Amino acid sequence: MNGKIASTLVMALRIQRRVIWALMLRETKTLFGKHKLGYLWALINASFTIGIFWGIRELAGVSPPHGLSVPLFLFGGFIPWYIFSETVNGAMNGVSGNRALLAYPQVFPIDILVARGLLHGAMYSCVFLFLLSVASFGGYEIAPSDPASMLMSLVLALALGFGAGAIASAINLMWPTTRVVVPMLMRILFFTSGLFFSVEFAPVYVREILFYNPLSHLIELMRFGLSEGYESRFVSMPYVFGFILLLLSFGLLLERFARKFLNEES
Amino acid sequence: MIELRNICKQYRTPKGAKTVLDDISIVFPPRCNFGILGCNGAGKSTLLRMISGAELPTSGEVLRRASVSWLIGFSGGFHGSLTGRENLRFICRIYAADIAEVTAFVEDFSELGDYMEMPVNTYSSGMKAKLAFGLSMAIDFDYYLIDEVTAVGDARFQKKSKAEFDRRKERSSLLVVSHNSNTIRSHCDVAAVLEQGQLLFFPDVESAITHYENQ
Repeated sequence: MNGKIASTLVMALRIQRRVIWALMLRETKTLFGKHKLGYLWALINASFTIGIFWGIRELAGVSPPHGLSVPLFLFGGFIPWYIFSETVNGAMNGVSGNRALLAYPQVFPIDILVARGLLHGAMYSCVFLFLLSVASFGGYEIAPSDPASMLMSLVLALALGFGAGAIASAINLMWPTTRVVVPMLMRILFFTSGLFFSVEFAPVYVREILFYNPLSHLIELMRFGLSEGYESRFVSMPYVFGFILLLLSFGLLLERFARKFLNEES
Repeated sequence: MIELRNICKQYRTPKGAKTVLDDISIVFPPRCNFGILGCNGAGKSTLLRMISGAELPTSGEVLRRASVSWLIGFSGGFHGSLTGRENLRFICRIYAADIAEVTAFVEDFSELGDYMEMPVNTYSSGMKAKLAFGLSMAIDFDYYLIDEVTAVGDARFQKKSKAEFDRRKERSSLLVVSHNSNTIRSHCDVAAVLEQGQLLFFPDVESAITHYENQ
């Protein structure tokens, strides 16, 4: 009996991998297919936003902590942010926008969420690498002390976005106003996660509040990985892992629950 | 084999829950063309969608121990901004079908020519249906699900489709739902009638049709 369950599971996983891969290839074309420059828009968008904050920082004349140059400091903040927020947005609209695909019995909402998350994760990792090489060409010193932490930060930002996205997607099916509320919440996170300032070096009472947000841990983790030999005093990986685990469990539960709302509107 | 065990389906409406299917159990044996007759709104399409896996029952379970097609002619899964060929590739990938083989078959069968390279939202509804139909014929399924046999394309294409269908019947089974007695008569070996959420069984197709027409 156990053998039978195991072989069924293996087959199910094989189908799921196939479906996710197919969805990723499909989304690769549909995500930016409408625009002439295609994927360059992701790069343009990220560079533009980072550029604005760079300009502000230069004008204000404050040099970032961690011993980082301004662009690297901002990359550390914005790349995990983009991976997180784009995954949340993609996941939220993915299921309701691809409802027709669920007519194929092997396609589940979760596959759409995973495909979109992986796609955005890969896309912004490429943007990150590209920006790093541009900065390196521009004469900025890039000496990451801890690439493992940087990678960890990217992966966990993806997991965090996936968990939050699964929840948003499920609530969106039950209550379509979610699509209006989520961007408002994201705006709050944009200003409080330490994208263009450092939560680690903020005043104590600010830091204590802002570090409830796991994304600010991930951003600081990225910056410490990027910089030379700084150790974070306040970033807590057990907290981040616990938070993500809770979020994922809740998100997957909710996804299961929301499935029955899928057919009712279609 | 496909088996339905105690399938119930309810929809929530402003006036409260409405039961569409009420405790339906049935086995569709292999190599048997099965027809289900029912009036409009009897729940035929819902039943078929549940068999295909597109919709979940409120309670009960659907066991599929065979490959089951999507509803023949279903083109809702096509993405408008992708070309016919790209849409085809996606379907092949999720069904683990050979892309080259399927492409060759569909190109030959659907007669879309250069339109295979054009986005699907430039297609007419007839072209979309041809693509969908060709695609469902290109992949070998044990069961083909058909919601009202509707004619696709011109007379010549219909003749070709009919021939392909007949060839299919030798290897696979059809599950047809229809409100038209003649459709069931010409395609099925066994028939049942769906009435007030219940499935009524009959010894042969003609007695099912007699019951359906006199209800």
